[in-house]
Amino acid sequence: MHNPRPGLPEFDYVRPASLSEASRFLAEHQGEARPFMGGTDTFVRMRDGFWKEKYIVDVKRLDGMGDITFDPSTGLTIGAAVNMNRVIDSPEVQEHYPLLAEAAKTVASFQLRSRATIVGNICNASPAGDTIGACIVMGGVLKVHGLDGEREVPLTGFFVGPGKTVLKPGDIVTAIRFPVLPQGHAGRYIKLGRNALSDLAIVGVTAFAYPDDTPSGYRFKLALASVAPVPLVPEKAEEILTGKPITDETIAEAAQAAMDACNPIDDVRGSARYRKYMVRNLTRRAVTDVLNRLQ
Amino acid sequence: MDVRTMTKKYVGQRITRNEDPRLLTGQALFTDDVHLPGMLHAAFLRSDYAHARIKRIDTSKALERPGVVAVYTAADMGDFWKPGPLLVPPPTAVPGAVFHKRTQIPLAKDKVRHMGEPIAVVIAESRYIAEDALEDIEVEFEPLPAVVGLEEALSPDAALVHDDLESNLAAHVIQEKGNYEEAKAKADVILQRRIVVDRGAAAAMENRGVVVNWDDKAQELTVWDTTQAPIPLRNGLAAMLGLSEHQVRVIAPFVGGGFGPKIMMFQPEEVLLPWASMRLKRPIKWIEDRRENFLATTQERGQIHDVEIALTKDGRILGLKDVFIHDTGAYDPYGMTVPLNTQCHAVGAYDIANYYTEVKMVFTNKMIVTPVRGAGRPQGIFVIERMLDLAAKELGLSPIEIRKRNFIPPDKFPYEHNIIDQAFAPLIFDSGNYPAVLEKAAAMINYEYFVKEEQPRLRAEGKHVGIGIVSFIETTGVGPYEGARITVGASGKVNVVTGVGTQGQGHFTSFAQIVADQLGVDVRDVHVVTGDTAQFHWGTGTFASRGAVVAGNAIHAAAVKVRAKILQWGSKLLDVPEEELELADGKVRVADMPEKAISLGELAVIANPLRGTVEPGTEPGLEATDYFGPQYGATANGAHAMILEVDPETMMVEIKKYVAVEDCGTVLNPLILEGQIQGGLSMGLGNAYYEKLEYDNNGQLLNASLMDYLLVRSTDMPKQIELGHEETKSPLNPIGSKGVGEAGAIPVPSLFAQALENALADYNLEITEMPLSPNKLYEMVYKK
Repeated sequence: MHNPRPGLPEFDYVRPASLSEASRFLAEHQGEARPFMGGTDTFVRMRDGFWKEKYIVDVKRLDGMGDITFDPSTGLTIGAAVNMNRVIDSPEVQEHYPLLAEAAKTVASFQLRSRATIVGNICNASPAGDTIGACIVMGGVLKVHGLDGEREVPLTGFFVGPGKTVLKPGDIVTAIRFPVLPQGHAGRYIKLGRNALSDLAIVGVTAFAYPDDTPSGYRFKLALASVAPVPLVPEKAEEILTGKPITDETIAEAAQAAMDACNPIDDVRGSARYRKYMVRNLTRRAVTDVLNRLQ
Repeated sequence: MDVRTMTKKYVGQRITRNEDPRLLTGQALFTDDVHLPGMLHAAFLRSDYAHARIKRIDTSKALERPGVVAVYTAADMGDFWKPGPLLVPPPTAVPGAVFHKRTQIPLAKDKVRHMGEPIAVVIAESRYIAEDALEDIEVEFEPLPAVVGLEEALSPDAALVHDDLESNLAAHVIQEKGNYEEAKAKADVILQRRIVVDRGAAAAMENRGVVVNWDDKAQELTVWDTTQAPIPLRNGLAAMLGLSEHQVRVIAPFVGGGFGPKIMMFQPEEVLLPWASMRLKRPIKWIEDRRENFLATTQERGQIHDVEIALTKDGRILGLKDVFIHDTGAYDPYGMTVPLNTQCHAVGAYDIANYYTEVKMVFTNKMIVTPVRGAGRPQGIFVIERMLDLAAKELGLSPIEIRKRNFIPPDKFPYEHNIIDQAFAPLIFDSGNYPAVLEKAAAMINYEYFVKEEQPRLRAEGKHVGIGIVSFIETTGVGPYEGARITVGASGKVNVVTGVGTQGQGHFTSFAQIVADQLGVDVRDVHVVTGDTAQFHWGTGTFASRGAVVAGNAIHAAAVKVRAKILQWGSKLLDVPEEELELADGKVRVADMPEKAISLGELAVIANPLRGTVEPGTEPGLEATDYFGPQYGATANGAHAMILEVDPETMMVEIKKYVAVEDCGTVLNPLILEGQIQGGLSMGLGNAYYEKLEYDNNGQLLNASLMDYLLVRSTDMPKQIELGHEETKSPLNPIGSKGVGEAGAIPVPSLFAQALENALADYNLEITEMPLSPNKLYEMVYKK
């Protein structure tokens, strides 16, 4: 009679021996099984009664899931089960993809980052996900194992709505791959919560740039968190920063374009109006910081 | 030399806490640690509606679920169903006062009056089954319009929270000292403002919890409860259940934070489960979850004030008028303690001859309001400190200067206010030196230097830095009384029992210090027991910053008696006059010949002989019981100051430096005092910039989780906190102490407001509302 998991609905814990077995199991139990990594979202949502999966499919020990590999010619691959603290501490990440470490450091607390993963942050598909922007602007591509074997899925178009992605039943994201980044790149993630640390982002601005043969001399990439149903790329703002010589006015114009592009909601954590102004102010700040880092 | 006045050894010292080894190693017993054989688990069906009629309840499906033992609704309770008692008397001491008693009920019968109000309880073999069974219960509701806003509650077309009343007016109290209108006629400056303070949660880390066990063979009920008031709870339960007080034992074990809501008694859960345990003859456990804590644990703060202050052109207050509405929520079991405290604190630390204060208390469809750390005081202090700041701006005075011109002077104590306080006694401030406290805070924050040198330099660098300094008073240590029994054992160790409960205040140490000094023993050899009615059964509880004052002095009184017994025995056995003895190192000894001594353990055995005869009138053992009840409450005071920096693009705030100067009379243990101040400060900061319970127009609490309701974390605390002390001993008790449990929380919103206005001086900001948030402040500043 004693419930070993008070507060959680009853479920079975499944640990398949291979990716194929895992994909098959997930496809066969569509709607009642979920792949499981760090559990930082899964258990919270189950405890709150939003998710009522019968099966939790532990895929974190499968081949390659726990690896970080870097190759100077092909780039970085982070296995789906690599926790954020490992990403933050990785010398390769720090040297070649520092934006990812900067973004990961803003997620929740140290304790939580020992369980939470980058791929989990992406698959959870919260518009507030702190690391998603960095993955988008650095051209991250997901490696997905499905019923038909391995394929790659770019992050562009991956997010469909809050908590919704293009993944199909049986799909398991095994890793995220980043290309070798252009010489001289720089990035910045600014998270705004309601307190100094650990709140969810009410606005997050990711900015990334590298020298290029453009009117501004740079190619700019931006991503916004918590201001639309999905992580948002304000393309017009990117174009302004790339297409015009960089001046204070250009930065202000781009920041305004980012603000105009977003469509946040009012909720208990922040008003839509505040969020929009914060997008403007923090885009200006993030872009300015990137420009300082580029020099 | 009178050896009885030997120098203090422990009181006033930074003694590390006796209880910490147990707490830090997980050995301390909390309510949820109680596991009994055959124990059942309870879960409560709570209303999703803030206001609705209950048309029908069907529990039959829940009863069919395997593992469900019982399901109770109001209809099953028979005569046991009745509204709880009024915990605080009505304000009849005030002429013309109106008060409508509508106390909480164990389970909603015809109507629900707030979201989270319990409707049914399921008792099952596990909490898991009990929770599942809640979903089997069918309730048909007829939703009613929710009464949410305080002014709206009083509108003639508002829905009625209590159908049998003509309106939602719960109480109306007018108090006046002097004559405000006459004072106003003589004033050079009159300022009027609307001041709003909204609700927050106490959010103790340990939620509420109850474990009950009816032993049918012994005919005894044991209740482990996270209560701040074990003895009154025991007495009330015995009366309700038709038992003798000796058949009911209430134990308040270690409790992870009280902060007020746990003084609220006869909560539905703690009334129902003993009744159910007696019927089922099995132990039952209920541990509140965090969502329940948000919905069904009492809250505080909501008030709207219309304030008017009249001053001379040199900044002297001639009079103050404060007309306010106080939200009591769906019921008013705690009487008018909170709004009366507000009335008594809106005069602040100032000599105000003419004061008119009028409160309308209203029922709303929100959780019940009872004291939360501060208990109406922060609202009163916010009112007066804000009005003084605005007057200072108007008159071109510094915040320090206007306060100094209005303080009650040190030679004017005891200072009588001619209004009634929360204990229905005349409000009297016993002692204090308010200017000295403010000056100390100003010196510690380096006020003059900051304003003249540092701030202009930082502003020139484009930084929005601001400074604030405020004063406050805190009425503390109210009666009626507490008691204690102290026993020296054969091992020489000392046992102290008192009736108050403990929720982290360090009682096991500060009380031990008082006793150790009297009896000359090591503070580690004093074992303190609190909150177990089987050990001590007289007293009221831990509330109103009164533990150290009232229980502390009761313990002191009992210790003095035990000391006298020891000296008497010592004198007899060592054959020297009492005056030549001293108590030290766990012995009574001759002061000039320390080797001539008897240990207290030996003495305890001698004082409790097994054979032979005793002299007539002899009490056995080295034991004494005594009580203490103050004439009236001691009033503590303090001044807080801070320097903060605002990012005007986001309105995120960083507190660079925080100074708190306290005068709580005799300091028992500076380490514990600092913990109290810092903890209170974190709650005060929450009330200023982080924590606000958001109810929508339907009375739905929108942020009932720790993800959405933002508690202050260590990373939001000031980078630097400096504490200073002044000691003006209270003449009202032998120790000379005043309470400090709530002090840290009280001045923070007013201080925060002043510092924000100062930091954002170029935005001409006026803050008359709390809590704020970066979001809200941004919208205030850029409203155009």
